[in-house]
Amino acid sequence: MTSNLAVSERYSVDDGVSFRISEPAEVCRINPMVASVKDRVRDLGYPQSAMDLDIPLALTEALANAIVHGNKNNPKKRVVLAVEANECVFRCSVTDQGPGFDHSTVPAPDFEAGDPLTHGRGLFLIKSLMTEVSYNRSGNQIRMTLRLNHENCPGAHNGRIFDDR
Amino acid sequence: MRVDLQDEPNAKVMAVEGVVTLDNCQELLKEGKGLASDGFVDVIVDFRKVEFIDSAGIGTLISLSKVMKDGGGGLKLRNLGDNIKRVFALSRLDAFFTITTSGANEP
Repeated sequence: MTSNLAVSERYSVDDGVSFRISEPAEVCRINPMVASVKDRVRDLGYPQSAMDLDIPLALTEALANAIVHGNKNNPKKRVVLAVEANECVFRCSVTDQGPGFDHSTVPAPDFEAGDPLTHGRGLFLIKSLMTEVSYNRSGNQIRMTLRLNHENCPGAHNGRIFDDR
Repeated sequence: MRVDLQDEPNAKVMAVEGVVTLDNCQELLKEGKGLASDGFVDVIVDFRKVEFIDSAGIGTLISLSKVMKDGGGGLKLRNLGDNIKRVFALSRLDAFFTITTSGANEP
């Protein structure tokens, strides 16, 4: 269950769910945060592959980056996960309290290397799994969108969680 | 995550259960390095009961594969579920690892 997580229902969406989870920057918080998100979007009817892989893996990688690289594993800093989701679209942001960085400088993994590196795949996986990925200007927030291809889904979704500070 | 060590005729099997992520993958690395230092360098990681793996888990398996190769053996991965397979495919590591479906003594 999710009762020990700092979850706040700060947004209301008529046809879906919207919430924020704020936790200290510790890697042990990642799996419970991801489990909490899965619990909260479970009734939206997403395909199993989205529930078991696309959403949890993208969230896990984004939270790991925020905690390890953004907040440098400092438990006095926090990582904030905001989700707004309905049956057609899953949108989320992960924000850390680090200085941010220029995500365009992150190289793609070298797939030709016979001796692959043990790290450096997180952002690549996120981009592979999500429909859209963007960042805020200072680079300490990643925004991710997964569009679900239901027949009854309109093209646009007016999410409000992503400001451009 | 739980790791059960099992013996097969030509290999040690690390039967992993649960999730393999940043939070716990050091345990898997430690267990594997322990096998190598005991002289067991032909190792199979069995994923039958693994629900989820992240990039840190993948990185740990790359490390273990190098440890086993350096010792003159190798690391094989077995019984990957569809979601786990997809993570390896997305990471383009499905050719780097030897991935098998089932053990010789399993149905």
